[in-house]
Amino acid sequence: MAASPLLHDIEARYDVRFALPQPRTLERIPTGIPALDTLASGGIPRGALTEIYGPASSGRTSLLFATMARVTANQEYCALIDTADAFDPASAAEAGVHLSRVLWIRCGGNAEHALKAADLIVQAGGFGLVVMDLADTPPRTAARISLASWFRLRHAVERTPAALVVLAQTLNAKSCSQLQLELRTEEVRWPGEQFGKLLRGMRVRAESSKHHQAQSARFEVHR
Amino acid sequence: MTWPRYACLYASGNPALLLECANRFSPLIEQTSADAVIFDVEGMGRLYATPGQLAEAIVAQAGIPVSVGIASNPDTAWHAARGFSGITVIPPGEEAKVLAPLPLNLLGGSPQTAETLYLWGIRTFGEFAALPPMGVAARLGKEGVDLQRLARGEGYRRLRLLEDELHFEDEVELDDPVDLLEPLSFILSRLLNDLCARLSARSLATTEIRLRLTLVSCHHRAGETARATGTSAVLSMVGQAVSPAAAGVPPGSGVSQFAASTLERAPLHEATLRLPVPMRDPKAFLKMLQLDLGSRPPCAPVLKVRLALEPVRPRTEQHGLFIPLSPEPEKLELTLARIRSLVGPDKAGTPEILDTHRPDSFRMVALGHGPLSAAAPRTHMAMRRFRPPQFAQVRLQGGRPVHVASMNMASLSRGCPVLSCAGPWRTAGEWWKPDPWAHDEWDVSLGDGGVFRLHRELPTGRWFFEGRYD
Repeated sequence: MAASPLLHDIEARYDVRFALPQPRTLERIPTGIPALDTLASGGIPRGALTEIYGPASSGRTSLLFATMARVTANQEYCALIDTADAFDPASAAEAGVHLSRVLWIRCGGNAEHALKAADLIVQAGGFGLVVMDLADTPPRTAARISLASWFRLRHAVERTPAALVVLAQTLNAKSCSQLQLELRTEEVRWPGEQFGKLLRGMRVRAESSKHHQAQSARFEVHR
Repeated sequence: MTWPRYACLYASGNPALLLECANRFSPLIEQTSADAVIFDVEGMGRLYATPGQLAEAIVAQAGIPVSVGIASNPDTAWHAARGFSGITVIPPGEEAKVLAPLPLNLLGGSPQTAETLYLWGIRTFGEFAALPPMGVAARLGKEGVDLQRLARGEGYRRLRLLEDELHFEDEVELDDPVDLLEPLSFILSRLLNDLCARLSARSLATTEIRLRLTLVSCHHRAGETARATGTSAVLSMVGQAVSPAAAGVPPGSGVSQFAASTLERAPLHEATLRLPVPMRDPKAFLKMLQLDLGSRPPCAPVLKVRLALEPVRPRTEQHGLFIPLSPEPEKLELTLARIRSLVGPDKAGTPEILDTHRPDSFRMVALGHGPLSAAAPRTHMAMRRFRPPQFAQVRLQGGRPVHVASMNMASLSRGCPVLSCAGPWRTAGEWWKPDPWAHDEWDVSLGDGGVFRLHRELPTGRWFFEGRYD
């Protein structure tokens, strides 16, 4: 018997009413990259945890800056919890991030401090985007963060308008994340001859792998 | 007997003394001019039998030759003090009669009005008061009417009170030294609650909290140990033998004398918390002080606690339905205090790029509500910095990097071939300063998939990984 008729039967027999939890419709922050927004059903979800992961030089930070630029352009505030102290303000400003709307927390390589800081920032509220940057943290160190910690973060961000984004080399939060984007570099563009070469950008392949439904998209980042 | 309400004290040359004298009789004081103060003496009838006795007490308190005028309104008291030497008490209802002989130049007013009155032959208060009010109003206007009321002693106005400079500070001297944070927190909480209540009563907030803890000096501790054991004890705290005499205990003096002298030369622990927005929340202040004391604890037990708040006008903010989400400043400040206690004091804030071409030049400022820059969002190839830049070993071929290695980076410890590279781009500057920079920059793509920015320091020829494109 399907759930709905069974529920009606119970409601009729015992004169009670049950309400099934409705799936939440999450508001999204567009990244400004059309292919990626299509892949992610409109962008980075608010009130949820998103993981952007991949090897070094795979476009994770470029995607993050594009999202931060959109959020700050909307006069919202971003909090960047920078585990490895690798954030480059000049590069972010070139991507259109309004730095006056960015709270930068430099954790000096301590992932535990980063986790505590993320928890405090999410609890404080008022941010449109909270980023926990573990991109340069070795995967073994990042894997030490327990699933309970990720669950706690997910729960803290659930009823807020903030999007929590985690940058890492591998998947860490697993089932706690609403959206998982794996990035890979397909090609680094070096147009020109041997002595006149210039680094022009790279083509990135993004794959969303949530619920065993792998979908992919490609986008370019330019220098 | 009906008492006049106002007293005026007049003497030239010493305004501070006049104020001090007036302060001894009333808290409601107006400094009318450099040589006169007027103060409210209502209720002084309970202390003095007659206004004359009060006036004599004022003269005695001043200690210098002064004129005192006591009347039922401030202006009449002022005119009496300026016009008559010594003590003048004007009973209510007799103002016009007493002021009548005073010369008209004491009345003030514009030069035109004074000249007109002079041409009319009016020389005293009494002559001016005797003029018909309607005629004065028709010829001299409102100013004439006002001056005539003053000449009749009928003027009435409120005192323009001197406002005390506001001090929001308090201190507690402890009987026994406190060496734990928890009992100290109770004391701080009490002080903060009182001070914030006082701020609230005056509709003020604060942007600066100053804490000063007077600590037990090492000598004091040695003296206590010596008294407790009855011997010239060994001071465990500093690991030196200190006798009571050497510890500063005067022979034959009492303990209280010793404690007082110790307090005077005791070491201090000071902390100043500066807030980016005016706040008035004692719980938040207490938490911030606890975090500060936790990260930078005093080096000895605390004998005395002094707390001061800098008063400022509270923050006003216009809320609106369509204003984007932003962190609540009070809550954010407390959160940042917690985070700074974790990561360090200068490790949380907003980056501000400095006006220089030197790579990675920025400073951290407080998160504010600054205007947005004109930059439009775009998909830009981002760079992640290595702080500090990582030393690299580079093999060149034809002047171009072909192989790189770095012992500081695990993935490159065995070296990696360069697949593509672009450069060099020379950047140099601030040669007039002690720390100039001169680099040749290269973009390199390595065999492991990484894309890096390398630079070679021109003065030393050493290579560094500056950052990684991501």
